[in-house]
Amino acid sequence: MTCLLLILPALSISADWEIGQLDNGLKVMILENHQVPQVSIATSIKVGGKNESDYFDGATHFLEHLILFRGTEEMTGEQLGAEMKKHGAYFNGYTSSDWTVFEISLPKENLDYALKIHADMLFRSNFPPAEMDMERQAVMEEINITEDSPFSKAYRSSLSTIFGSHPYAKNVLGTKENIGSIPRDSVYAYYKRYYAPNNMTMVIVGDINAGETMGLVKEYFSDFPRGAEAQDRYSEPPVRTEVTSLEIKKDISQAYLMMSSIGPMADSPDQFSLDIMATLLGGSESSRLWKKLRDEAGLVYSIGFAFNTSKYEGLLYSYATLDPARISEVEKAIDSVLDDVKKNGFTEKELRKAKNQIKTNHYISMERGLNVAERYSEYDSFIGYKFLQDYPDNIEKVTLADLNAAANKYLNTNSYVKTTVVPK
Amino acid sequence: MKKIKQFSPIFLIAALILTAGFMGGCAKLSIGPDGYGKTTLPNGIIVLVNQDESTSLTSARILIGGGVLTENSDNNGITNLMIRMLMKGNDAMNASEITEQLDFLGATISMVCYRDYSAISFTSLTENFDSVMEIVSRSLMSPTLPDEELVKVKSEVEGEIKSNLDNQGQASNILFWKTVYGDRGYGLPVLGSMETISKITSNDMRKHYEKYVGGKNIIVSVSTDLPAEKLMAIISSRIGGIKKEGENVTNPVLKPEPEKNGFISFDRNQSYVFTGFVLDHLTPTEVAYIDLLDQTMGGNVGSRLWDLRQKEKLAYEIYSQYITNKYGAIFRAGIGTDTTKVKQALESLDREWKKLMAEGITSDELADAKINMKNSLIFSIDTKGGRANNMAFYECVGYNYRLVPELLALADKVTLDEINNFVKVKLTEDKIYTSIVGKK
Repeated sequence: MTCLLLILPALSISADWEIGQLDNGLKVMILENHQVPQVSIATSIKVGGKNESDYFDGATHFLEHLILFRGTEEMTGEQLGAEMKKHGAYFNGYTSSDWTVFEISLPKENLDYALKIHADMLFRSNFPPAEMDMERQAVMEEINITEDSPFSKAYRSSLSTIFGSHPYAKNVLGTKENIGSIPRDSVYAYYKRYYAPNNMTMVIVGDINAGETMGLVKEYFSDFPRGAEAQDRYSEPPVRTEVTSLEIKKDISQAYLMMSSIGPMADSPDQFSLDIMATLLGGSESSRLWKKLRDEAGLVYSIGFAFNTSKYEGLLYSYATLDPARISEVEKAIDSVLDDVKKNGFTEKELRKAKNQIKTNHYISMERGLNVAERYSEYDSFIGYKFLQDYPDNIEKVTLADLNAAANKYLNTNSYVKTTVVPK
Repeated sequence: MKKIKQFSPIFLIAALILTAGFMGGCAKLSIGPDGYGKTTLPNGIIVLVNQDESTSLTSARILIGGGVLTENSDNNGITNLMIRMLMKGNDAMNASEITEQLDFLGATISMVCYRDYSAISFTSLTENFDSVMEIVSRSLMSPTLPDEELVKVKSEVEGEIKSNLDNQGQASNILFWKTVYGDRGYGLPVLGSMETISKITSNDMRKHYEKYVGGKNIIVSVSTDLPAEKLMAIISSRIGGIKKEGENVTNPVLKPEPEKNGFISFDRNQSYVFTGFVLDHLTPTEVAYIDLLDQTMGGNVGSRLWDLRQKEKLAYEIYSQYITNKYGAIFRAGIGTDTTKVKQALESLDREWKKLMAEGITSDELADAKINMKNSLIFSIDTKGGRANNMAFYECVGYNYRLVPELLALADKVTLDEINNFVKVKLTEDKIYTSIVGKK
């Protein structure tokens, strides 16, 4: 059938952010969104796995748990949970290699409470040793989950090999040994050192008045002093000259394959081209890998391709579920698709299609206030919120020459890490 | 910044009462002050609409009644195959062209099968809604169900069945339903088994399609910024021509099994347990009770089950949940725990259920549950996709399609006596079923 080169319009309404910075360095972004009578707050801290020494392996994520569930100077973890429940609050946190985020979402009339408890948790957490010991087991259970999940296992093993001594090689969850033994004083000192307002971006989205909210933020957050700038432990990833193969055996029913290589840093202009490339290679059922390996050859049960953006080097990877007997065949077929792209490039029609897909998905991801708060705080912690704000425009600016040059530069069929998780 | 506009409150928009008549007066849609409206097309399709001008996106769900309830142990998985195969070729486009064109329009689309229904859900920019509807409706009305595509879809499903087995939570969930209802109705896995799907032919699927896909068994829900008149013109022109005849399942045999415990053995680090009550179909007020009990037991940090994580060190993941079906409901707890702690986890869950059955909940717990219930309900409808899915689901399983707004109003009216009486009468020990996936 004939496909018109349909160009999705930029959606016409712009959002009015109120953005400020307190004297102590806390960056505050506020967006009024009167869609539903709720308010969401997400605060990112510029610390993650990349800030840990071996001694602190997993401590940033463990600290996130302790802040969320194990109490402040004023209340125990149990009291904190009860208070949150009383105010109808959903609250959570998550940790990556680059950042940690804490979030709270609740009825708009409880904004004042939300800011007060958010300040307490971020700056006055206490987690006594006995409470901390109880939380160790929950983190170990979380480690168990990722150990059992075939894709998580493949992903973690790939990162560990491909990044070598680079901080992204570390498992953010740490090891059971370390989580079981790391002393409370060490974690508390780490917390006091890095949980400083100058390392944070707070994003508030909801059915609120931006000016009044900024006033409340000043009231609750101005008194906390500046602290040490978060120090990253960066080191170059190893140069890879050949394919490295890893095989893991588990009590599972099918094979899980991941083929990964290093991508550019977040500030690279190739970011947008690579998002388009990932979409065209494996982002949907009309993508090249899906069409060739799933539809035409029937080699896999499912297949995809992804590009993860991080502060430092990103990760490009294809992934598939398949019959274990077909791993070699599938590896060759994936290489063949990537080689074809490197040699012949994508087409203008494909470029237009990917732009339409990415932009619509971006708009969908911005429907929910909590998601907006999460994503803006995350991105601001490592590349700046403008990355997200300008994202649709920058996707639109990518030319076919940009896309094909990026594909040629980053697609790699002779020096990647191949990880398979196969049935025992 | 260029992004979807976020400022127009639905409540203001909803204040506008819009009425549209069209297609020779055959279907009329009135949008109420709350932004919702319902009408029925001449071919029996129920159309549910939420109007919301806050974004230039449109989300829709086309739901076919029946789901896994239409199946038996020989053809289990046929509904899931059918809903996927609908998008694998129609009288104008083959599978590849359909996928290509939908991706070109930037539409996100998914086909799912559940216990009471199968559905096609999609979201696109509103200006592309008609183009997406054209493709989807054509696939719905004149699917070609080609053999070569069936082979591919079966292979995809085979991978998904294996992925479910490789995930203890999924495996335990499937086991729970099987333990309750056996090898029939809600007890059958929605994907089917490798054995059953291997036997299903295109001809079987054509018969299944002819029997169940018809206006009388279809619900269409849309959350959109389109004016009512324009929306109804699109819907009528695209799906008004679907044949009227389409069966749904009535009076299925869903007697719970006498054996109340299921077990599957795996050699993994974590075990996964579900345990909870199997109930009859709930009235809207009873849904409010169960939602409040869910909030109290395990809906949030600080709830009763949370102590199994916080104090007893049994889990990373623990929660309660309720699932309302057309012919019943469940209210259960789920816990992922170290394989060495399953016995302790079961004892703790048993203790918490017994405490609930014996004492009910307190007035403080009820007050907390109300605010959390309302917050959760608002979360469930704060996107257009959420609203479209909710409307069609509730209409399908026997409630008012506006059940969420209804529950928001009901929450505050529930008294302690009412909810504890419900606990006493409905949550009895003989209704508890358990599934365990773990080491022997």
